[in-house]
Amino acid sequence: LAESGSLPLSGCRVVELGSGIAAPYCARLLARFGANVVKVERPPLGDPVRRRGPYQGTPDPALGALFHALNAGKRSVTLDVRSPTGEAIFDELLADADVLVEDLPAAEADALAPEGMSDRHANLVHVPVTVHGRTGAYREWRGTSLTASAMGGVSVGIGRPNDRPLTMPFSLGAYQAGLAAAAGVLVGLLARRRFGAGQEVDVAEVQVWGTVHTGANILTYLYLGVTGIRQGNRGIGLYPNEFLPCKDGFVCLTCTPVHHWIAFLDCMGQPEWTKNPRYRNRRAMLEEYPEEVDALLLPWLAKHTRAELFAFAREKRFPLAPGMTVPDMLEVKHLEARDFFDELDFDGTVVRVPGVPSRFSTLRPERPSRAPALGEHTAEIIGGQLGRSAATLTQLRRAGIV
Amino acid sequence: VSSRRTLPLEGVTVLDFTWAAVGPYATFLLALFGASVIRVESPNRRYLERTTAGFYHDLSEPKTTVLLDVTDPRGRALALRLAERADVAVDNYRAGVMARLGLGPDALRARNRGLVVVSATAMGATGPEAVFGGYAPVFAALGGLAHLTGYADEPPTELRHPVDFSVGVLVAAATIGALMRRGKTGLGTHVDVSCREAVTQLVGDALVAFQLTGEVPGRHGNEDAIMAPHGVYSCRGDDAWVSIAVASESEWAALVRVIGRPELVEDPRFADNYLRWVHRADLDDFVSEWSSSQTSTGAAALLQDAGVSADACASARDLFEDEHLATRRFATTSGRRGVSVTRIGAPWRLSSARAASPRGRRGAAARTHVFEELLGLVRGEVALLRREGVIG
Repeated sequence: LAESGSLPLSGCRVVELGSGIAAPYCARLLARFGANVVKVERPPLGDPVRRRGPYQGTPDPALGALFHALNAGKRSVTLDVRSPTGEAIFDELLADADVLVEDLPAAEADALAPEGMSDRHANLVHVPVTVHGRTGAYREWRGTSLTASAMGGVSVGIGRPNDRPLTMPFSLGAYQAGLAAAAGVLVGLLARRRFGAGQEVDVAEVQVWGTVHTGANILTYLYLGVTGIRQGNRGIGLYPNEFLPCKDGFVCLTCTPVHHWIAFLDCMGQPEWTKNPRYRNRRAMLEEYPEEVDALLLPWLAKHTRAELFAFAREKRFPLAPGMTVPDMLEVKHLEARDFFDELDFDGTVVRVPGVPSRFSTLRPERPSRAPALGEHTAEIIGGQLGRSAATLTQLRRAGIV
Repeated sequence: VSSRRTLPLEGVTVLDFTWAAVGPYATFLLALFGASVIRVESPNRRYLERTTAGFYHDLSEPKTTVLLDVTDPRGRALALRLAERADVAVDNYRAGVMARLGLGPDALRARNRGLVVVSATAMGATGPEAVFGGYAPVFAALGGLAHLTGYADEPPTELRHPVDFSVGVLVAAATIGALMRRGKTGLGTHVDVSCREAVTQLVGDALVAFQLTGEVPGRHGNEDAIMAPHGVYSCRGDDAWVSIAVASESEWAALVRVIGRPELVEDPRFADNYLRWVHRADLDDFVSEWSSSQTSTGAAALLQDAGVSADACASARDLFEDEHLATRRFATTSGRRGVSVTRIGAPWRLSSARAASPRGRRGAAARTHVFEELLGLVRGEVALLRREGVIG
């Protein structure tokens, strides 16, 4: 790593051979930490996410918003690593790199580096980010965020009792895996700095879910023997710990310490029913007759908006939060004051995407506003950095390798 | 190869002022990778996580724990002296709490310019809502995740999703990033992590889609915007389910073979991906009819053998019994004093090193190590401070 530069990863060279979400998201986080990321895409079409949209109006693969959100600030090279020539160029690229982040199916990874990538390049921190992982009996299995949510033990705990388990929404598991992978890259780089060798940091979305899911399911199993439990809109523990409807949406109310519950009841005006001993045993209230207690809260909640209730909660200090919709989040003054969103520029239309939720007091990282065009940096990297002549590049183009 | 020598955070001292879950999980991860974590607890405070003893035990075991009353000036002075000897300090109190105790980022960094101070707060250290606290369901609701999770067009479901641990991974990553930067520049920093932002970060897809299309993303159960079939299907047995996702023509062809309905390939309702999506309810019936006679793991294996994405819905017990995850060192089991202890491992599998399974010091051993060996107090001073309740 270069000694200059103030970002944690400035000078760090990352090669991404990724498509979809998890691996590109990992590399995007690394780029925001200062790494120089080269995204290697397969010709002629590149990362399929380029064509996934969403688009503003007419579909235009140059303006796929998800692609830009995941790949802003990287450089793009087209290279078919399945061809022998492409593989040799890829190898040269890796010889110059600190980190490889990839999401190849196991068979393709085996074909590319039968002896293992970090054996061939002793200095390389090699991070495969896949659904089932590169090690283990299911290494060749296929999966998506839906199936990872199942195998990782998440789905069994989301939904109503005796009803169908639910997945995490959108591609949340892939983002979670990408985040864990970025942490894994940092662990691998720190280990290399201290001990002088790269290694493989194998990230599996199912394992990320399995370990990160420790909180609710795993420990209740380990210590209480209780396996998957779905509880609808309610959590476990003491009443209240649930989502409830209010005037204009839903709020989450979770008062574990008793002073929070008292503060909430104060807000309601200490209704008469609170004197009834039946409404003092909060474990029984949650476990035995929660709907009955809900019915006492709902009329009052129905009179207030999420914003009003959130203001009460802040004033009286009890944990209640509005269920924010996506448009709500884009309007949050607090996030604006914190400069949370990155802005992408689509021919003059600005789209806001989540920034990095960790701010270093001493740093102001660059905030790139767009992703590279397909192969935008092929000549610069394969010509300039790796020294191929213009004639060779033309040959490679004709052969469909770049 | 298992070698303690190769743990990347060996020699790094972490001062842990955390409570509940975000912070304790972050410092747990740092401990797994070799950091020496000194957990400072108040002798007067009831820690939420101690009410779930196993949870507390698991996350605390690799850490050395001392009780220190930092509201007492002598306790605060000892905490500041510990900060002089530490590389990292982590807390996850509400914004401003540590500063009120005289242990905010500025106070700590004034004692040690190389110190990396990491605060994980519900809202972040700055901004108009900074002073408001919260727990995981609050972050999930504010972060926009809760609104998106649930059965189609029904109220949000409670998320048994460990938002806390998800943020904990980010806190650990930011800490290591700051340490790498310090390795180059010698400078510490203050890292501000906002839990609600950490959640919003994971729903970028939904934010982007809304801004481009104007459609407000809602709850869609297990449905996908493109893929069909895409769902969780009932299997034979108690609470047994398999999740199946079909993205391509070859997967579709394989699916209908496995479920014994090869004629569906010719069915005009299912001629391409878009039509399959339009008629997804019919498809779900065909798949359910087949899955209900299968075990969940059997169904997943048959589908995977044919090249279709499928996984059984695992319960917590299944995770511990799964051969694949065992190979990946998902959990560690060790015997101590004849009792077998199982604990969660790291979310990654490093080729060079197993995550450590260190054991922190407790009680008298912790007091001796922290107050006598690290801070140089003599035994009489420690005893006096104990009698006066400054040290627990």
